[in-house]
Amino acid sequence: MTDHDFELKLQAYLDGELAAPETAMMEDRLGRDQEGRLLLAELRNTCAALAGHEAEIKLPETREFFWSKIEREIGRQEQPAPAAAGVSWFTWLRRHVLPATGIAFAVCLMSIWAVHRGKISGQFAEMELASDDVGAYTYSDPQQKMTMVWFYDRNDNSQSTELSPLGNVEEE
Amino acid sequence: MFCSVSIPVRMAAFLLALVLSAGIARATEPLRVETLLLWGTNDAQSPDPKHKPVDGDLAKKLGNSPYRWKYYFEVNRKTNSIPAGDTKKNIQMSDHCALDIKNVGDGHVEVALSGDGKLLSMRKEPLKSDWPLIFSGAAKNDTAWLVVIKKVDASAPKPDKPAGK
Amino acid sequence: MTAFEELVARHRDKIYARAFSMMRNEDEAVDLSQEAWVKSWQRLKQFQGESSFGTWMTRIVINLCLDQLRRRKRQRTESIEEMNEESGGVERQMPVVTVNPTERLERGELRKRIDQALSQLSHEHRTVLVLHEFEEMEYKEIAKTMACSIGTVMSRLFYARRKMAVLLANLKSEELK
Repeated sequence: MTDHDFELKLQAYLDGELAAPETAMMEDRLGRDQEGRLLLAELRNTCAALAGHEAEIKLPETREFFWSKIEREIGRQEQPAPAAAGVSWFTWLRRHVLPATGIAFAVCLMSIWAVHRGKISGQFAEMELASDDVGAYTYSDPQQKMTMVWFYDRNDNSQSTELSPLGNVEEE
Repeated sequence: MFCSVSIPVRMAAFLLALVLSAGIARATEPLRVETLLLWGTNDAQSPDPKHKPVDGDLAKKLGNSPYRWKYYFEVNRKTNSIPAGDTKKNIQMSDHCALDIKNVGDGHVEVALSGDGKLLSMRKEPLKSDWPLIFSGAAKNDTAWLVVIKKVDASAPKPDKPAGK
Repeated sequence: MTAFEELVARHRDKIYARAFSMMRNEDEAVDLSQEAWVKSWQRLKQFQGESSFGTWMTRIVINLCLDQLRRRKRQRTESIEEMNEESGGVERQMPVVTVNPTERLERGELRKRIDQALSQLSHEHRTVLVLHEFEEMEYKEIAKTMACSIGTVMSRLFYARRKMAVLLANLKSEELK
């Protein structure tokens, strides 16, 4: 067993993660190994220092402000897509197509298909990102009637400006 | 042979053909698309006198949107008619940003956004005149760039002269 | 929703504190803890009560923090320390700390020192320490959470503890000066 193997087993012994036979062997060795006992004492002191002494950190925002952001995000995610809020084809057909038979029914069906297909907004929206380094948030607002996509650099903690198409607009 | 078919059936077949051709025409008609490059900032004035503040319906939408900037300036605006089919229309919005838009028919577009020649994202979406699609991201000094893509109705008045390049 | 808001109010500090202990950045910790709350709302039906709600929430925020750290790691160059930790080379350079660096310290001061020392560890070492010492997770659970081997968990934990001992001892000796 290398020194490092022994050290890791010593740690496992301290943490109660060593199997019973190995625990007995470790205790036997510690009886003869002063360096091992010193290291165990150091590890124990560190554990004791940490136990129950994590810093008490408070959220730096008021309850109302923090909650308002969560509530808004939940509301946004639960907002149905504009298309989903509309009626399905079959429901529309049942409501608006007069009872008819054969070809006349088919004509109605085709006319509905031609006129209304373009009104299914949002249902066919798909997006692909070209790079793993770029992330995007999409937000569709049915009240304002707009779809917003925000691109960000996944590797940058702060707001990255590398994606900006504006160049030096503020210096012109 | 057609003459031997009954009148109601002939009428129905005629209506069917009419409707089908209308559908095909709509699916293949060119799409007029307006694209704008905007700058979002909390400064009341743009350092570039050529930039004009965004106004009208778009200003109202942006004001009510989750975007946190108070002012939006138009850096560039282009209007293009994009025929339906596989042809992509390349629209250079700035030295750094280009759009490739394909009219896939029935009011749907495929939009590819590139930055400095590199593809950023491709999106397929139905485009409506009162529902713009906005790509956006961070710009220097806590400002934002926005690329607005919207359908222009054939009957809409022609836009003002572009502000930028 | 009112009941959920109540849950948020009751646990928000704890969840934020966990996110902050891992990310060491206020803004990120706020964002990630918010994201955790939104996720928990979506998954509320899946919560079967097999653990306390606080524990369940903590797991959600820990996983979000780890995802964020992993995304960041892809671009980051590993330090020599991090590369050496697996072979156990760096620990041998640290002499065993024989004095108890926390003796006679009052609670508030001890907490402050521990926080200072934690901030000086790398993300990986701090995470494994936080998960073992504060979340009381076993090696196997930590390995699963951090998507690494048990051997890696043990090495990182060992290094983190030894480093903490040295840092706490240094902080004590600076104070004595």
